[in-house]
Amino acid sequence: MDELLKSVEERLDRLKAATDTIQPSAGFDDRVMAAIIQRTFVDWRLRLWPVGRYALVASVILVAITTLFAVDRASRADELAAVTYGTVEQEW
Amino acid sequence: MDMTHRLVADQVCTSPGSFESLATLENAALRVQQGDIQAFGDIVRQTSAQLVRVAARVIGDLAEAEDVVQESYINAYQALTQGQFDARAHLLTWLRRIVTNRAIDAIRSRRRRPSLDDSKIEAGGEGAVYAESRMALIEMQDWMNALVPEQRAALVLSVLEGLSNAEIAQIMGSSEGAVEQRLVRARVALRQRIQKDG
Repeated sequence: MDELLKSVEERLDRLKAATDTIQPSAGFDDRVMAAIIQRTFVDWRLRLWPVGRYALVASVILVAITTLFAVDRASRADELAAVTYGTVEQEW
Repeated sequence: MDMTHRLVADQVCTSPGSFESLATLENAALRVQQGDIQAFGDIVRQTSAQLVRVAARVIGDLAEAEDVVQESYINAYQALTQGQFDARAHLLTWLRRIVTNRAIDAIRSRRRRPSLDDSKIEAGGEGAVYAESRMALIEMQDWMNALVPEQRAALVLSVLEGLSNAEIAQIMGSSEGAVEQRLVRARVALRQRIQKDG
């Protein structure tokens, strides 16, 4: 083994020993779990949003149809009432 | 995490091949797949020290390494819950693969940032030890800067983490021959760097 290669191996060994003690900073594991929980919650919101959007559109359409139906029924009732009133005969 | 828990986790991580520790991890992975998020906490506690060390050695910066490992855990959790982990590789090997790939990406898109700051050194409570690690990481970053990220990762996994070429091949998704070639080229480049520096 030439001197340069030997010095490469020695330097790698020294760096290995010096970095063997590396640890995550205090509270790292808790931060990871908090990030996972937060990301999961956001994912659920993102998944629910399209469903909620469709539900909202469906509700608006349903309300519009119900309103039209109600208006139509009301006007029919008015017409019937008008016809009824129109046939009332009064005697003097 | 309390010190006792950390010591137990380190013992698990320093003997990754031990059947008991791997079985514990595989069991925790199964529980995560069944919707137990706390089981993922067990996985994090058992593997974080080792994964942060690998990432820090590949990237050369502890703060950036923690970011990489945190994102890797988030990816791993999502993959587990979506049934994307098929247990063909051991969980630890799979996690190392995610971290290594992310670390390689981080080197490629590196934006220069201050490395481990003084507050983190003090938080560790062992200032001198952390300072030595920090200096070693800076030295590694400078010395290995000449290497292609894949060569750097292969060298770290081989020499600093003590993994076999077969394990590295599995982690890096390449053949053993390709790993061997990367290691040879990495040593040649480092030797040239020493020669150049003088």
